[in-house]
Amino acid sequence: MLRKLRVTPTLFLSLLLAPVFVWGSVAMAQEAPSGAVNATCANLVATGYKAPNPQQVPSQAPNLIVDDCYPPYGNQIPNINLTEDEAGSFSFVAPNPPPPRGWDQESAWNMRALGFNNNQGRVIYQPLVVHYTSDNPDGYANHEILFNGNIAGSAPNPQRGNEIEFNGTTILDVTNPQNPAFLVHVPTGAGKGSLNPTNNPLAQNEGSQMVHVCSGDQLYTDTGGGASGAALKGHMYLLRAVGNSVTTANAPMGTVVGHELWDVTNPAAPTPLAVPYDLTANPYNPDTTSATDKNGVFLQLIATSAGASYTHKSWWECDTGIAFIVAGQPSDGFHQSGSHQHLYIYDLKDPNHPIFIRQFGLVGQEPPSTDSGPCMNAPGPDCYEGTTNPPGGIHGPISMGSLVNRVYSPFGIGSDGVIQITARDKLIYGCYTSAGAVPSNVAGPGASTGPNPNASTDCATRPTQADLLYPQVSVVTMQPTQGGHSSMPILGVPIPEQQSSYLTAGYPIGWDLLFVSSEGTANDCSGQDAHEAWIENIGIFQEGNVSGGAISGSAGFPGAPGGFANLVGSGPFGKVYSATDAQQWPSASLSVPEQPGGFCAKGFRYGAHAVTEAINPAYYGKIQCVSWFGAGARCWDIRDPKNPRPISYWTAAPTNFTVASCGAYYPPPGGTTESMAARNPNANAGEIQAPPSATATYCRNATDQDYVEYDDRGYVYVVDRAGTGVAVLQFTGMAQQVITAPTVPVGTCPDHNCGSAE
Amino acid sequence: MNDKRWLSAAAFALCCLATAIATGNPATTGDATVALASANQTPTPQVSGSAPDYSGYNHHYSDATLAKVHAGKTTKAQVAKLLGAPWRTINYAEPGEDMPGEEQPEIWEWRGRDSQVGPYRVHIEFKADVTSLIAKIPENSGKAWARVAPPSHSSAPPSVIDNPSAGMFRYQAPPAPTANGGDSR
Repeated sequence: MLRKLRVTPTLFLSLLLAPVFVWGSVAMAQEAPSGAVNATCANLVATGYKAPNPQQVPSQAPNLIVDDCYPPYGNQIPNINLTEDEAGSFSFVAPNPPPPRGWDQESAWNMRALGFNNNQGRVIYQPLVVHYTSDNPDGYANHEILFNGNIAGSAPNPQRGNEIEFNGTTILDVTNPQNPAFLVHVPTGAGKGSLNPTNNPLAQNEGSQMVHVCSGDQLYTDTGGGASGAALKGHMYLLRAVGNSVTTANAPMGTVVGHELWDVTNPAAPTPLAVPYDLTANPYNPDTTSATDKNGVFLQLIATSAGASYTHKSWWECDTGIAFIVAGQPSDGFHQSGSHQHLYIYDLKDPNHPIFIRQFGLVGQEPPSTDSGPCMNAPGPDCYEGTTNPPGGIHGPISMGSLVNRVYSPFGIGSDGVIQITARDKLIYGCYTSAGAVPSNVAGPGASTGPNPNASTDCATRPTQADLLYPQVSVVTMQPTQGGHSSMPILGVPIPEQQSSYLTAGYPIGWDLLFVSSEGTANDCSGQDAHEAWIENIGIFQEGNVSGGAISGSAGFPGAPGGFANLVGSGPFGKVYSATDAQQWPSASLSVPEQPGGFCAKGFRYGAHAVTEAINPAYYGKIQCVSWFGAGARCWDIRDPKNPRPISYWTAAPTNFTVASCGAYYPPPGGTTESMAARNPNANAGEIQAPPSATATYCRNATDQDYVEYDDRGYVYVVDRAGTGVAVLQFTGMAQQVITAPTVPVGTCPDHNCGSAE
Repeated sequence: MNDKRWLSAAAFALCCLATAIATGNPATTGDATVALASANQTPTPQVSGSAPDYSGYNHHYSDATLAKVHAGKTTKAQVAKLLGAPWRTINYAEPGEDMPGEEQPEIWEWRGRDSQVGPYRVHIEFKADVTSLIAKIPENSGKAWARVAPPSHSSAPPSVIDNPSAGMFRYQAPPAPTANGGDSR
């Protein structure tokens, strides 16, 4: 989040130790006023700034430098320094992860839990930690605030007389990671108050799984914030999904789900925004009669059919105000298998006045399509992308901002996956036929390059195949047992073995990576292929002295054909690309073996879920985590991304808030209790028992790690889908060594023995 | 529960109790103040029930009462009438994301306590508003057998994409590794 950039003692130390830093740029950062953040960040990144090591001592002050620079808060990408010699992972002893303990115990390897909160027993989907600006008027200046998006359900709220409240957003002050302080629960449901779920069928539809937060300071200073932008200063704003789906015939048709905006300047007392009715700016505004009582809803979706999801994981660029919102309703006319989830793009630079821009989806999802066949072998105006007809819904897009100019979108979630890369400018502004046609109140980065002269008349709400193809850069179709859940880019990773010996000798080579995961959705592995995560190569670049787009002394190296050309810098940190993201190609997999651990008999789900999305510059390109449900929060050393090394994991112990998971495959069909015991040697004595009847199944209060994210201080947050709560952790041991490893000079060979192979 | 776990749990509970006393503001934890469980109960980390109305452990649901909940038959409304409002509900269902046949359930929980197992939870799962599973899970073990509805679909293993023409999922024994990790050729 935006804050006044200042130099901490840690940065001073880093500057003294790192001769590549340029004092002038740091001085500029020190003196920079609030605002103009991207300019300051650009200067820092272009001059080689690399983050100092994250703070690992809880009592130390937070590192307040450049986490504001990176998506979704800014448009810069961290520089990644080389810390391995040319042998890469082979220079290290192969890690030997210890087998995890039984399902009822905490398991930790190179991670340590510092603090915990039970989150009122509400089941968490996603955590987001936000640094509050120094000008916060409500006593939270420079506090670290955790927002938990909670899965549908209800629980008593002891702060309100133990009334039952539908799950919404829980907000905690995690400034002291050893003692996370619960601030408030912002419920969902009619009236935003407490209702007895036994009397209200809407209970099953509520929940608020997804959250994003932007600072009004940044929305105002970086975007102008619209007509009333000045009023945003000092405020903090929350964007959240409300209601997942209509699941059963008992839910009344016409149920309202959608997305809301709240003022969370005082995180202990959030207030919903009163979004005025404006049919022109926001045709999906729910309230046509009142300008003052909207309960924060700015995008209302009318669910008219059961068995479908209507909202999911959105993305909000704080430096532009552009929001990529996952939503949908039957009346949109889009085609999706299993859900109604596609993209709504909004300009939320002034959260009090949302402006709808367009809807978007994958080819085959467009309303006019008849989905006559797969585009792969039956290309045509009615074909569909991927392996299922129509393509599955989008899960959650990630924009890397206006400079990278790319949006990464996973489709299918757990099966029939497609990963799509789009050009951000063409995605946002591709329904305008010229730059002059872009209304001034939505103009922003990309408005001059994004418009499409051939956009169809109804492009914004009923796009044609051509409208959808216009911003598309590439797609890759996944094996159909796997789906697209996450697609998180890690750009500019140096490849250890390609620092002097490939392409034009003497200039180091790096790759742009896309971390993709497929969500495992079944308990105890029943009926599913193993769900994994992968590292895709989506671009190859060469570093060197860049002048006018060419690398000095590297004749013959192909220039950048577009794509990330705007990432090309100057001096020793310039980059020229030889290949772009017009192609995607998997280069390595991240997997957690079922043994040791016996995860298929441990309870709850086992398989990949979400790739960590928070950008902490000290971790970027060094360590990457993926939540793996019952197998815990899993992290890899990715400095040699062709050979990722598992480096740490953590699994919570259950408490008396942990929801039981019950599996019908225990023992599995054809299996025996003895065979299950053999597969799970860490099970407690007496754990494996014969079922009492043919129709019995087994329940365990096993934890289920749903998301793992970082804050700007380097603390790690692991949330439990099974209701246990949220834990604050830090990396230790080998994982800490990965993060703090010193820079290795280009051309360093194993054992200083270059070229001596015999 | 082994000794180490008991000691850890006790230490955690004491730590939390001390923290609550030190801060003097249990409300900031979003939970009731922690206290150690009585001697004949398992101390549970994070929370133990000193605030009955929140913890919910002041109820008891007899076996006779729970026997009236029939997996495959009893509706959500009937369960609510029988057991009262649940302490907590969770709806994991994500239509369109869940694999067909593997739809995640809606879960209702009640907290109770009896002389036999101490604190426990009644765990009932619903699919399409009808009970699909019921279990009484003691807190001190965290595990239990559940009653479920008879399977309504074929018990045949789920289909797996197996395309012989593409050579998928065909097992071929690898060569035995040697001591240095290489193959045996």
